Amino acid sequence: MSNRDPSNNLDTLPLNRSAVLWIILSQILIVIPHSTHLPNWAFGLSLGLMILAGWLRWTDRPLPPRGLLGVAAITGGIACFLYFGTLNGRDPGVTLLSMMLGLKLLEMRRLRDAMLVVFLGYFLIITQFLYSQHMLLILYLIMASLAVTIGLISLNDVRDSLKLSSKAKLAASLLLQSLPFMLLLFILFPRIHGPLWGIPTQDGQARSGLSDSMEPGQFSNLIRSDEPAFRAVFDGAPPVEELRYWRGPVLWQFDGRRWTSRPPAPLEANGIEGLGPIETYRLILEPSNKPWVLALDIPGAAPGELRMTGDFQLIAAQPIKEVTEFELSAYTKYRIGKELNQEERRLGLQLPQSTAPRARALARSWRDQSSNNVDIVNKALRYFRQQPFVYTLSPPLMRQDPVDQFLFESQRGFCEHYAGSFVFLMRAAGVPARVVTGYLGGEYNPIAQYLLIRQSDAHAWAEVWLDGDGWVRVDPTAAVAPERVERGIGSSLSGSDQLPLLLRNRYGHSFINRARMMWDSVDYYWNYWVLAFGPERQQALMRELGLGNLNWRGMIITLLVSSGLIILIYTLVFVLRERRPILDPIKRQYVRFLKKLVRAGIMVNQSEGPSDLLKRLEKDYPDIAIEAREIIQRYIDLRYKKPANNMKKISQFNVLISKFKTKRS
Amino acid sequence: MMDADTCIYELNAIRETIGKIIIGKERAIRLSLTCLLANGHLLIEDVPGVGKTTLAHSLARVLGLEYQRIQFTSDLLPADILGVNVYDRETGSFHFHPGPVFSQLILADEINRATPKTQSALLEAMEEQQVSIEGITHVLPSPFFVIATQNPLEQAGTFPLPESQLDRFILRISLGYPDAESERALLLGQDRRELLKELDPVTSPERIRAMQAQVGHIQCSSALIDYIQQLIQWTRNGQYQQGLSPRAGLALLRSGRAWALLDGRDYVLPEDIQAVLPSLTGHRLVHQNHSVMTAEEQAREIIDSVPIP
Repeated sequence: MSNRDPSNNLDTLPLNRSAVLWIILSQILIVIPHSTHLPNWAFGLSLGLMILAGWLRWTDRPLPPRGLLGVAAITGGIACFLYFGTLNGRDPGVTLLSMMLGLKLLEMRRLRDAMLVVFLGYFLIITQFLYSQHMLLILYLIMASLAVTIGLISLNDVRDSLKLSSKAKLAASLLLQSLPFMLLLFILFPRIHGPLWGIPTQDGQARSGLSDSMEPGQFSNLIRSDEPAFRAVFDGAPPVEELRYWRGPVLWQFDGRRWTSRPPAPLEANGIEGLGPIETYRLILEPSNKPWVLALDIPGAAPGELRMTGDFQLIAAQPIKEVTEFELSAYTKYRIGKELNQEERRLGLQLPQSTAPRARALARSWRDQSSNNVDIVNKALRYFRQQPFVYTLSPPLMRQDPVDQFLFESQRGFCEHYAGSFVFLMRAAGVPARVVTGYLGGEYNPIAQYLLIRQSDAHAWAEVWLDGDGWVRVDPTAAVAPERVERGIGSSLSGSDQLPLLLRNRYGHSFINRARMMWDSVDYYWNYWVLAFGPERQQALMRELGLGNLNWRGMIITLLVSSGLIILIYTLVFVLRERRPILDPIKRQYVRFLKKLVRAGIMVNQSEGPSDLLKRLEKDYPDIAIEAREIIQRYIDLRYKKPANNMKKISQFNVLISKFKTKRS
Repeated sequence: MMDADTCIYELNAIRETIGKIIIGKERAIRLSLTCLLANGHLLIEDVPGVGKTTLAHSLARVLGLEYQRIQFTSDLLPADILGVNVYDRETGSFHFHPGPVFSQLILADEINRATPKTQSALLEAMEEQQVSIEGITHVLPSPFFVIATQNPLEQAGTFPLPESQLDRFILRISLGYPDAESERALLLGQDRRELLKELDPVTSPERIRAMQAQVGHIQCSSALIDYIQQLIQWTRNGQYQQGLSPRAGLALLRSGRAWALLDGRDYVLPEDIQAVLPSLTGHRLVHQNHSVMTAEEQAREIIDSVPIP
């Protein structure tokens, strides 16, 4: 009967103003972080539409007509198609969704529209994770979901009777209640290798200080990003600073400007001979979109999923597109290379035709003066040490003949210049040599006990072939700027070289330094426990929990059963809470006061009346009684004296109890 | 109508004056006054010679009430209490001759020695505040306050009052032996009978009626009503042969109010209820397993089991 009354149908009721405004605000909050990857026009459009909707609602103006919105939606779809060439995939999808959400806000008239917007908002929050899973972003998105949830609550609060604070409280408690489900899904949802849904990670996320070629003189600026490249956790103490060389691509071929790697070569048997103890460690790599696993020089062996090249570099089967963890080992004292094969000898002596005549002449003179190859190496290092070379991250551009220009004219450069010209000189003197790129250094974090290697720690050094000793590492940069090797990049630069603030202060203010370490530890744990939680770790956890080797089917069943259990527990809690009598607000405050007494070590009996309690306090705890008297008398007044209580008296009473403190004797 | 301050002042004067006669029994005196103010009747259960009669007598004197003592014996008949119609030759008609019950304060001494028939005659008068004889109703004076005494039940030749009758007395107290100090004061002091004769009334029946009316104005919050309800509810949990009756609940509320008035307050606290509870439950509740507990122990058990809401 009552269904015929239109006012009883929620869908025809006008939406309440605060709900509409909250929903619009929350959608704006959600769309803002998408600014980093949406095309600018699309982001501007959807943000503009949302702000327009907010303004129209705020000033109580009419919404635009349906037809106009329809035309706008079709235009937006076409623009999106023209821009991306498709409507499929992550980017076009998210772009389309953001724009349509903006349009939908302009036609949010009924409860149904508003509900749709709210749920699309939740979905748009999820799409953020297709781009970034950074911890700070997640904190932001939690705030955004709180805002959407407040919108949802306002929507259902048809009479608009709740205060914002109580809505926020309710929203927060709803989010907290969903926490167990979130954890359950995180742990139990079947995991697959690779990024979510096979969506390729794009370059935005994969910035590396390394590439598979190097061109000294071509770029006047090196990557100075203090983004973490990887972290290493050693089972024992980490190696000393001078031994923290992390091996990346090895470069052989030089065309006068550019160093490139050779075609993949197989690993010689027994190529590695450890001369000291083997060190084991865990490497947690940030995504780089490259398959290189930056192992400590020299890797002991390649674990199952990795392959070692003939240049002793560890390579993963796939480019690393998410935070990945490896168990590795290394010899810091070693001998590598048994014999120099024909191919390696040819490549190790290869020089481009007719470049750098002065360098060749210099090398030839060393050749003539030296009895053996070790002597030549030492002569070259002495040259770098004695000539006025300067280590700088912003050297002049060298377009003509980079080797000669660097060695004899500018004499300013960074590791690439030194390593490249050193190898050139060695080859010209007849010593087989090659460039090794990778990272050098790493900052020890004493809080979480790991080494942090940043993108700015990228480095290049040389390896020369000495008969009997194999490939020997020589770092010409160390001859010029020893502190670069010993203490990291932050200390080796003069003031004019601008490094990010946090890097510059690495050895400076201890407070900032400590805060930075703390922050990085948090980031590390986030990476380790959340982002690197892949299928293997999941299986290991299952075994630890005694669930054995669960396949995905078993996991789903466990997931459903445990979700059911949580729902059951919630239901029980709610039912029991319903049964419990609701405490009078004054009594609730009084109970708070009693709890404070208990904390101070005063026995409190629920059957003791307030005036009896006061008498006892006056007798046994005279110092507490002074303050307690006021509270107890007000309690008696409020609860037993006058039936009509005014709010002011109650709030005064609450304040008194909040202020009440007992000194522990 | 009497204002609260005068009321409290007079009540204090009454307590003090009686306290001079009955030494060291402040609580018993206060409970007796509570009972009077609550417009109920008092049962004193104790061994002979601890001052039951003296208490009743001094109350009567101080309150300025008309006082009658009825000694209950096994041959006492209802008419001996209520009165009889006597034939008057001169007028040729029957004339009602009121019994001792037509008094403002009655001491029914050793009530359990009379036959049940006689006992119920008094109890009905107490309940109804009137006496009907041969179809004519005679209204009892006001205030009407009965103090009954009884010896503990072990003694031979008694007719213990049934529970339903006990319920008519809103409070039951016992005086007990005086403590050492009070006993010394008692032995050293004057003869109590002499002292009684010297007592002057502190108040009057009209003023007592006003004070009884004042009890009705004592504030009683809903939190306190909840407490009384929960206390009564708890006694009905099967631990006792029978729980407290609704009449007992009303008596608890009234005597709590009277106790608060005696404390000089115009509102009732849970403490007031707790204070009168032993005297209220002692003669009403019997443990299922007949465990021997004093009234205080029994009330403590109830109080400790029911948190104050």
